[in-house]
Amino acid sequence: MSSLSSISALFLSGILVSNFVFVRFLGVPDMIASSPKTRTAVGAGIILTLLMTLASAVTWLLYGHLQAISELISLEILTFIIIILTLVYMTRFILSRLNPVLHKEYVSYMPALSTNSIILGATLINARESTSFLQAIASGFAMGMGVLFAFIIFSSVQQRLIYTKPPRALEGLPIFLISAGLISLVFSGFDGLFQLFIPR
Amino acid sequence: MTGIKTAAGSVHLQEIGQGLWGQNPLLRLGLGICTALAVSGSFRDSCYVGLVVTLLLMASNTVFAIFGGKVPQKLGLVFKITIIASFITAADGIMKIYYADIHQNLGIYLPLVAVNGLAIASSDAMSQHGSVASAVCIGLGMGLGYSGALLSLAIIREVLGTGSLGDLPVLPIGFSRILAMLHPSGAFIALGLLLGLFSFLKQLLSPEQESKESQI
Repeated sequence: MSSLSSISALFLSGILVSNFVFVRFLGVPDMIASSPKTRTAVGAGIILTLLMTLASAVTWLLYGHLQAISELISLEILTFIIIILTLVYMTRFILSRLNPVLHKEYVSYMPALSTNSIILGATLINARESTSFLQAIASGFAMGMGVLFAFIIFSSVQQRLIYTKPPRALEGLPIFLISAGLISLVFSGFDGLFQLFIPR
Repeated sequence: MTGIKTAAGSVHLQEIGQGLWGQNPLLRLGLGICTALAVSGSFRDSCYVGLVVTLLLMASNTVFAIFGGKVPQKLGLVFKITIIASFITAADGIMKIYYADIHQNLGIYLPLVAVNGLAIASSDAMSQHGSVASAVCIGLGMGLGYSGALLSLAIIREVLGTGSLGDLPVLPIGFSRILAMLHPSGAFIALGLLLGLFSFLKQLLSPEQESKESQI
């Protein structure tokens, strides 16, 4: 029972209280670069969620082994990055075999995934905070849902921004960042929802 | 002889200046946004991150200039990421031992410098057969440009949010602080306005060039 409630708390925290994009700033460039089409944004979010869950599981197991050999703990960044690269290329290969149409749609997006702060950030947070394998998987998935949520919200904001005409100096990236700031202000309203889960 | 030397020197100066203004990683290319947003709440942390980024770019560019030609094209990205991650691991370890409090503050955002595209962009900026000196200069320019942008963002946020810079009080006592500046939303809005100011200055200084760029 207690583990069930802690997992639901993890989900609330990952999606609302410490949303990956709007509160923890990870993946802001990916969100801004993502397409204003909601369908594509959802697809990118789902791929990211799957990769985050998978990477969280693999790296959490490995982190335990690194911890056992205490001198190797400082190598976490290097090993995590290499594991993520492997996973991204594997996913790309599997996707190209299973669903070539979907693969064609995301092939330009895939290389960006390997140098992506979202997946590395999720694995690093998990390695530091999770206490069990199940919790690591759940929290990876919850953080992924937070990213998906943020992508959906921001794609609708981008659809609105197409029809506005901001001052010339603010066109492009600046106006996207300011609108992201306003959404982030909404998310800071969830701050008191869980006293336990406020980041840092 | 001296003529050749000064010519080479001016080329290097141009490369540094390019990173500071024309190819500024944060303000012009939009790279390293997540680290900048997360760290700029505190001026002191930002100084250390700027230093780490500058040293990282210089070191990684040196390695790429020496060994880059010998690596097969297909493995280029993997090679670059591995080198960058190794340097970041070293920086993280040094921070952990000597500046433990700052390492605690930075948390996961120092390791994330490895994947935010800064170092890869600066390695792409150098030419295929450039000398080591020019690679170091490009790295130095981009690192200083990023640090400058990061520090100005940190100054804006810390002064408006706390009323003082470090221990030094800046704003008059009656001034009400803007607490939102210390929150995530303040980071987004401050960076957006800073980018807007930068592109406004850019348009003001060279309007013809800007219109040409937008036509392309």
